Amino acid sequence: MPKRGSLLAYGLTRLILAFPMLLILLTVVFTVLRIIPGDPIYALYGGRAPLSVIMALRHQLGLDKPYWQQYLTYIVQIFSGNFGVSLGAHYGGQSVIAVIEQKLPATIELSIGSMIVASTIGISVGLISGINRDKVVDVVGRLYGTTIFVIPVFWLGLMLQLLFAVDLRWLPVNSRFDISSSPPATTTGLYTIDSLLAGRLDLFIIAIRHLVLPCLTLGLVLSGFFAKTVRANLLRTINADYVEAARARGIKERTIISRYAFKNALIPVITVLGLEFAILFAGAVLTETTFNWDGMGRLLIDSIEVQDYPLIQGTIIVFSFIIVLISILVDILSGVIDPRVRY
Amino acid sequence: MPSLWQRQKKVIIAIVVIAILAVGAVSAALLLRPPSQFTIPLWYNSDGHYGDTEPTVAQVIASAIERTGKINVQLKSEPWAQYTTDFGNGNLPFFLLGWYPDYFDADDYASPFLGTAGAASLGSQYSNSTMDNWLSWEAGNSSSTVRSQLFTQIQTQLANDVPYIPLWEGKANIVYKNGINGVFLHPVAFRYFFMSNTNNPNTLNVGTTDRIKSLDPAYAYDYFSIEIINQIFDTLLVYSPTNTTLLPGIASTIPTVANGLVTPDLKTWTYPLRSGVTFSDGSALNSTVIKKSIIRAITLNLPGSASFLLSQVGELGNTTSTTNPAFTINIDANPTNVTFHLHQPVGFFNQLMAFSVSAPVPIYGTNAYNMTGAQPTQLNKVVGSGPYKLTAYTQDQSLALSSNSLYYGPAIYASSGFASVPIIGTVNLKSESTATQLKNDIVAGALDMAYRTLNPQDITSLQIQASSLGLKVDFGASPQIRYLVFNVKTAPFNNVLLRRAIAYAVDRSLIINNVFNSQVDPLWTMIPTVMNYSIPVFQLIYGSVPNLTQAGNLLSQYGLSIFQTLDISKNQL
Repeated sequence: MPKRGSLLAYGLTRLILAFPMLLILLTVVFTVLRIIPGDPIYALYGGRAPLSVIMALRHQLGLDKPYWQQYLTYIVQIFSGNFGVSLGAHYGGQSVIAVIEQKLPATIELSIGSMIVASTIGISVGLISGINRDKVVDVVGRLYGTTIFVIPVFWLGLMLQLLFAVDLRWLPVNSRFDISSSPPATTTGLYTIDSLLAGRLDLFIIAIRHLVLPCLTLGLVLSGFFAKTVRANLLRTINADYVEAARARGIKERTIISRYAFKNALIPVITVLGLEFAILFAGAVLTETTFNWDGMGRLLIDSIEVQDYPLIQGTIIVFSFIIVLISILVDILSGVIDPRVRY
Repeated sequence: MPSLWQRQKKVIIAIVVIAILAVGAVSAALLLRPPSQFTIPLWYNSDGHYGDTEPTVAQVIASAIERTGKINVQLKSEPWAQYTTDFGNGNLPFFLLGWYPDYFDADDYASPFLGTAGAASLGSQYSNSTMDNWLSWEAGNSSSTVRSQLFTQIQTQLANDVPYIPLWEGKANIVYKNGINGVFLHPVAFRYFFMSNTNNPNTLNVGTTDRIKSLDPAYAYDYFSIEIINQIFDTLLVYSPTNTTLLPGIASTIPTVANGLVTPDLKTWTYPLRSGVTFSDGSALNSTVIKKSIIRAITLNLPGSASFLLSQVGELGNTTSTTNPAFTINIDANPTNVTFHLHQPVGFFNQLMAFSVSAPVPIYGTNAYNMTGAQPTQLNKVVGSGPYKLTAYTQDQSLALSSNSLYYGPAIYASSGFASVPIIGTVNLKSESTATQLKNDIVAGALDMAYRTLNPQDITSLQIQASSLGLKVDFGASPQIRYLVFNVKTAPFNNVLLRRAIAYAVDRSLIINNVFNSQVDPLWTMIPTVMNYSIPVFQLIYGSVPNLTQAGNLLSQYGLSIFQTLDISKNQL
């Protein structure tokens, strides 16, 4: 077993190292945004204001200062917890942190739901495939794992939407909640949790119904990765020496699979969860647009369109921090689960 | 006798010499031949600011110009942020652009484009002192006869100088369930409070692809924010339900020179006020509130707002300081009226007093608006004097409007057949991420109405399916225009012959029929037909269909036979 002290030290070290990594990322993003052509203030007015008005606003916001000066000002603000205010037309004047706080819960809710779908379907398919190696079921499972992963997520989303929402009218077309109902009072920002906290089962059902299609879309695409990983690991563990020894002792195959092979096959899957979340956030951008899901993905698209510098930077920092945090947690979890891991 | 090698060497040398001479002759012929075509760039926006059809529009325009046989068009595109920066800086030589009015007067389609200052910010760099004088005279004149004459001169000059080529004017469209009445595609102010819904008399569910920026009248300058403001806030004057006739709103009378409420020099405008007017929270709305609201909008001068429409276009000035009288805001808040003193004559000041930026906001009491910045767009922070009040709001997702029980003027529109407004008690609005989502929602029956903005193909599809889906698809006049812009200070577009040649070559019918399924109309001047004083000058001078012969003649006159190949990219030769 890894020593508690080394695990703790590892976790703290990773967390501390995350900050310089984020600083480097912030610098790259800041630089790229200033290099590419375009100006947020021109975009804000779209030619509808006199040049004098535009120039005056650029001066007011400090956008006419040298880039190094803008950078230093921004870094000082970041480290004092001030991510700035939005420059764009959608969220103009609002604090970046406030805007992110509004949008982040939607993405978290979508991510958790998608991960549940992805892991449930993917692990199940991988398990069935692995148990029935080289049989028809295995071939279908492998085909599924390959194909579903390469399907464009927006296409899949539209197809599911047209079938289940537009044609069959079983589920809502899009968005997080019914137009004619008010969402639950905000505690966490996750409508499912908030409705349960408020004791409103009716609102919970509405929220779940709206979650089904987007989570199914993103989850199905990600499940392919799980399916292939679980299958490969299961085949490895099924043929391991300790499993053979268990068979030799007369233990039933079902027990061998469930108690020995499957559990050990899941360990490597946990280690790639951090990567899965990165893929999930990337997929969330498309899914949120397809399903009118008002989360961080749509926020990033909107802010890029109008070169809203503070909002782009803030969104990317938050995304990056979340992925780093999840990676650290997954690494620590791997160490706890797998005694062979050393730090 | 020479050896075999010596004989072969002579042949080889002869072949080489002949080859060199041949290559030289061909090269000289190629280099010295007069070019039959030269290349110009056409810029367009690439990230959907004008919708998904923009690349196709650009391609159609390029094809039409290339039919002259003398020009190659190189299509280039940029995202909106870069696009606006580049044309604002005069870096785009030839590009597509669009316009939606700030106030309903032909001046808003002339001054921004043809005045020296406006043309600079819109990228054409057009400057004509005679034109500036005409624009100044028409803006400061209330006589329709005089303005008509001036706008005739302005538009004729426009067609001769061709800094812009008008292409098409939009048609507003809307899709809604049968049983909904009172739907008017007003060119300026779309309002829900005239609508009734037999399917559900108390509720209307509406979808849109627009999103709110702010519900503070001093800050909003985008279509959807202003649309919602028009439901929640009233202004001194309001628009008739079905046309652009102004009606008294918070003011009890429309000021004119004839009734003495406007001085003949058009610099003093007095608005008598109704008594007993309140905001939806019960606080008083009087002349002092109106004055301070206007001053707030001007002095805050929030980024991206329409503040300049009051301070500069409306000539109200931009400061409360009396140091420089030429810029001091001078408004009298009298017990029964409010008087505006303008620094220059403005003939269309009434239209500015019907625009959302002039809407009064609470100045006193517990719901007083922020006087140092934008009022937050949050529930319980938006308080107006209009027929509806905001009763639910989730940013970028949805909002709900409910009847304002303290509305001062439910009978304002009685003369138009609406005894009392609002008719529907609750209107729920939902923001959709894409036009496809909007269409899917209306087809699935989740919405009663879809307004702004469906794709042309989806509109056509919905028209076909309308009866089976129980929907109606309506079209109406829209003051939105689309046009081409030339940077007239940049070669080769500094030559009017080239601009006129392109004006002859442009094929509007291709755009209208092939790209928009006839859902837009051709535009023959920068002032759309829904406005007064619109004259189809481009049709009169350049014809209704492309005239490639004339275009070719002008290009020859322009001198395409000159040995020069021009390849312009962002003003670089």
